[in-house]
Amino acid sequence: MREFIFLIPVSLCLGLIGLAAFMWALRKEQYNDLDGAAHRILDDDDDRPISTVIDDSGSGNGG
Amino acid sequence: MASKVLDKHHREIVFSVPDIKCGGCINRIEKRIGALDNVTKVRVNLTSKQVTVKWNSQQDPPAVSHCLRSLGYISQISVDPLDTDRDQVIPYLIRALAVAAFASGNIMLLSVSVWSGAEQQTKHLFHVLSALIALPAVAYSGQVFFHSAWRSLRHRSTNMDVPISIGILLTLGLSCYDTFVRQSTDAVYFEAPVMLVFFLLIGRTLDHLMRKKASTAVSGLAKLQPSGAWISRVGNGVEYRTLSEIVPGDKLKIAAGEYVAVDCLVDSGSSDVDCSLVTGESVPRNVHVGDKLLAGSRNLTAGLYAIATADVKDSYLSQMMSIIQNIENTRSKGRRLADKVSVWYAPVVHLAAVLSFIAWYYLTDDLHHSVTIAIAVLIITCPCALGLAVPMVQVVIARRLFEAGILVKDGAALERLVQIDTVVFDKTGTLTTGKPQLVNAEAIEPVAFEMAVAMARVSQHPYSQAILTAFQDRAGTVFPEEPETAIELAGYGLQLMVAGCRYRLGRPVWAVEPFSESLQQNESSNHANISSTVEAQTALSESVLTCNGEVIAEFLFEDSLRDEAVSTINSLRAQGLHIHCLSGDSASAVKSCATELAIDQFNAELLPDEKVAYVDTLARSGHKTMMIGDGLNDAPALAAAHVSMAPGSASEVGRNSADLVFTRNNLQAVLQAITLAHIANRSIKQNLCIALAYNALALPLAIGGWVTPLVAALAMSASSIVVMANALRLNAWGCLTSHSKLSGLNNSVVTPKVGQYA
Repeated sequence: MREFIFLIPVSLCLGLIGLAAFMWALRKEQYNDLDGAAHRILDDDDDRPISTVIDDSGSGNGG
Repeated sequence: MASKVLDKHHREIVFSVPDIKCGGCINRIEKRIGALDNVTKVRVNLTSKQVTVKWNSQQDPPAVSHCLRSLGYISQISVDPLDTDRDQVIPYLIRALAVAAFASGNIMLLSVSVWSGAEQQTKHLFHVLSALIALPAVAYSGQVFFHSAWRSLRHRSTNMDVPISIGILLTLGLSCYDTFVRQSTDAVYFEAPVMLVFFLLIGRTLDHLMRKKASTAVSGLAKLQPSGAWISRVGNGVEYRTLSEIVPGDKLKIAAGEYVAVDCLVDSGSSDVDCSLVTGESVPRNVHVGDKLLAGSRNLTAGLYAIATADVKDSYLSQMMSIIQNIENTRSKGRRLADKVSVWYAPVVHLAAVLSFIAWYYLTDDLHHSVTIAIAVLIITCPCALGLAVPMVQVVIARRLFEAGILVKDGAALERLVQIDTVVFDKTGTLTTGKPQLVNAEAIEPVAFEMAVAMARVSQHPYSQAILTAFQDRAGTVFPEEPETAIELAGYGLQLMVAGCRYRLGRPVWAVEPFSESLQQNESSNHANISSTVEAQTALSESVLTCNGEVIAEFLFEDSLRDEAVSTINSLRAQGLHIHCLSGDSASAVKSCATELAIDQFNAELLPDEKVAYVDTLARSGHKTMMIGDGLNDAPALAAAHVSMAPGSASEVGRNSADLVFTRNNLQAVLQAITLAHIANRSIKQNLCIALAYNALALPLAIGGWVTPLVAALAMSASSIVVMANALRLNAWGCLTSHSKLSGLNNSVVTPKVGQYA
């Protein structure tokens, strides 16, 4: 019986933390663009080979 | 501009950019716009295909639209006031679902130890804990059902949420009473109401997500319509204003290729206007100074200045909207299947509960025990599986339709689709391609054809485009050089001077005018005398190519049928459906189309409300009608029909009032939708049977007093899982059949006709 006094609040708190984390993610619009995130992960920013900088817009400022 | 003020220093604006497709687009757009002056933040949303730009409002707004155009993306300012309501429902549902999941998970864990035989004291402690979790969770997550039930009761009707709410509240009440007042542990069911809320919220959330996805996809198609117009200012120059900012009296500048934003009168210039999406006329209309332009029509040949005669709220488009509103307010399209079931389901269940209470009280004289039994009856018959039976199937089927390029905006439309016995088609843009095609290409001499093509290249007129398309279809032909001197005379045709010869391609009356040098000076005044109603009363329209007034070739155009129209109509007829055709186009054009498709019942030159009247007449004579149309003039009829469908190329209002929208340019979608609706219907009925059979089995247990909290929880989960599994079965099994069915179809996606805005 004594263990419950620790264990139940601990487990409930863990659950509540998970719930709060989910709510936070929801409020911070983490789920608004699931498709975009899948593509963004592939983007290496400016990590391109120096010799073959591909200018993707046709103007001088490629990056 | 339609921007939102964030704080003192920042404003935000959202652009809709339908062509964003991949990570490359995100990267490119964010880098280029981020590099503009004043931009503090730019974020691309790939899911909704929108770009949000935040900028420093104390300085000039950045030229985002221009920048996007230089990258090759067509953009428009996203103004979607209707969307905000819906956007708040889904986050609430997801939050409610998360809370219910947390609560039901934890209460379940506590309950398992109670069921597996804890000591009396432990049981009581766990029940108190469960109550502390369950009460706030149900108060938060259950609101969806309580609100809906309350609304329904206030209107003196009943829906599925009424028995659900009564069940949840009574169960919680009894459990709290037993735990806190009687300090007993025998009739405590905290897990049941929380689990019920959780399972039902799954169904509810899926249903909303499905609709949201479809409406996002539908609004993604809105790129065809202007979100504003260029207004020429009193001094000089032009400025872009969004639709809501245009007031009567504003002078609109409408370039060739652009759509007309609001109703207006032509102030200067003359041009040809494509009204096919507005009135259903397949032949472009010639407009001059003083003529009226309807919002939604497309300017084809020359730039126009026009004075706005109405703001957005009063234009033709909005008149259609108010007719639609009126239709939607005054008639119901039949109740949803689940609500129909609940009409007799709720009384039966509540009667059973009352009867078992009376019987037990009469037999045992134990008030508490009798109440416990009555509530057990309510718990065990709570329509958890019923609440899942319909949305689960509809979500699965909607996904399948989505993959086939058909968007379902409301699950209820699938229920109505299986009831139809009549299909009413619009002609222009639905049965036909909406674009004229050259029908006598074979008969034209190659030299003359090449000359015509050379001239047609400078023009956006549908006939010119048809000549180009026909020319491209000829194998091994090389495009002649584009002549520099070809000029387009709005309403008449094209003129080209080569080595002293005057070539004209266009209206016969104009093209055969005798040629002399002096006439050229006052060309335009001559044209005004020519009647613009020369267009023959036949289905075919004609242009001629002349050299110095002598005809060298004739071009015949027809708004030709879609390739698959005949086969689709025949298949529909084979299913025993009656086919009708309604059109705003001329009688002869409709007749020739109807004859080709062997449609007996057709009507031409109909106004929008006449189409509605026709659909109503069909409804009154007991027919369930499916309306398929694309124009603004079809929109009221789409709203009035029992169920409706529009192609993705339809006018915005048309798409919005249709229940289903097909984005692939293929009429076969109608067949597919009907087939899948039948599959969905069968599956829904199976699910309802499973749910009802389970209730029928469980009811005697409850009345007999054998339902313990454990039995209630098990029975509820089991029935829900069976119903879900049955719905998901459609996914696995359906893939095979859908592939074989779809493989024969042309999967080309509608290529949007995009005007040059911005």
